Amino acid sequence: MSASEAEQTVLLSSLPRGGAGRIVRLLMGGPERRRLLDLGFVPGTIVVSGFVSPLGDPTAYHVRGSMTSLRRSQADQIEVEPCSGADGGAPSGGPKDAA
Amino acid sequence: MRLRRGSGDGDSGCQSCPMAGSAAVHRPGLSIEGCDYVVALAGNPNTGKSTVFNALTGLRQHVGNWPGKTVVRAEGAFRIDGKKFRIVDLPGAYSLLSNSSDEEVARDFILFGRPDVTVVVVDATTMERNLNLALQVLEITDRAVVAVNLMDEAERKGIRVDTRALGRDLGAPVVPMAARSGLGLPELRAAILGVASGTIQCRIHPAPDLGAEVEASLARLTEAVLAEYPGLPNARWVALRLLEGDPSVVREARNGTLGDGLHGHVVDEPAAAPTGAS
Repeated sequence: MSASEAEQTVLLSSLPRGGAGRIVRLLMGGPERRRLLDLGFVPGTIVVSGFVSPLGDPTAYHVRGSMTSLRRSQADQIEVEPCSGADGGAPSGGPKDAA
Repeated sequence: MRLRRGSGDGDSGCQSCPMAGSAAVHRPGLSIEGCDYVVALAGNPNTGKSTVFNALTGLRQHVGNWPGKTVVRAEGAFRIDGKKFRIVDLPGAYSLLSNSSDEEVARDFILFGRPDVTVVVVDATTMERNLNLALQVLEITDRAVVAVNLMDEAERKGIRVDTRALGRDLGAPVVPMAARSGLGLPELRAAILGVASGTIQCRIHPAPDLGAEVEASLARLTEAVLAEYPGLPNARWVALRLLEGDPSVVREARNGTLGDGLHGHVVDEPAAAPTGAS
């Protein structure tokens, strides 16, 4: 559907620490997809990579004003479009219709 | 019962309780028989549901600042204007569509427990994530109250929540609260009574138009579900989950345990770690 924009996307797991991206789509299905949607990983949302645990596996992401840790295998299945994300995720009330 | 107050506790808690001296308090309620209305207390993990529960009932259910503390439901009772309410404190849930066992307890009660009022407690500091559940609840019922808790904490973080605008947009009563200090409690009680007695009715937010083909399948499935489970509330919701292949709903529908979370989980004491009990 968004084939023309797809060239710009990277996987969430490849964002550097502090890097921000706008979710383009989730590549998984089933309950895991549902779960991530429930936690706020919805296409269009800005995600900022936060803390990385010592072994680099779970990584915490700022999403919609809260922080959620994802396994690498999960972050590998989320496509994002890197962006500046000036306001992304910080506990400041969340992006207001960041269009 | 663990709910009974320990004698060494002192009574300072009672005096600082926002309900102290209120004529509306008859007795702190464990006596849950013969109530007029049933209230379900739902919300994301760690939004202060148990604090709201305690504020309403005058009980002292264990409150802790970590998610997942309430793993089964706890019940209590309170009165508003002479009407007796039974209130059920549910485990935290991000969604009605999830598969963890404590979230299923919450889901089953909201969907199949026929609560007269569902109070959704949301965290004012993370509204976006919290409103997911609120919307899901408003999708299935017109008898809900949205309690925006932790307003004090939000203010400290520089977050301003326009509860009026939110109420207008949601079409449901929205009550700003800081349950820890009792702020918003009278308004919450008024809203609960209003919804219970039918003077307040929420706008239902139906799922978006699914198209004729899906609707037709959905209607057939709903009928089949009702044939198997006569009188099951929210049969359409169940059919929708079956259609999308939700593993837990499919399993429950298959082995006849749909809504069974309602029975068997009832506890009349606060949830504690089951291992530490003995």
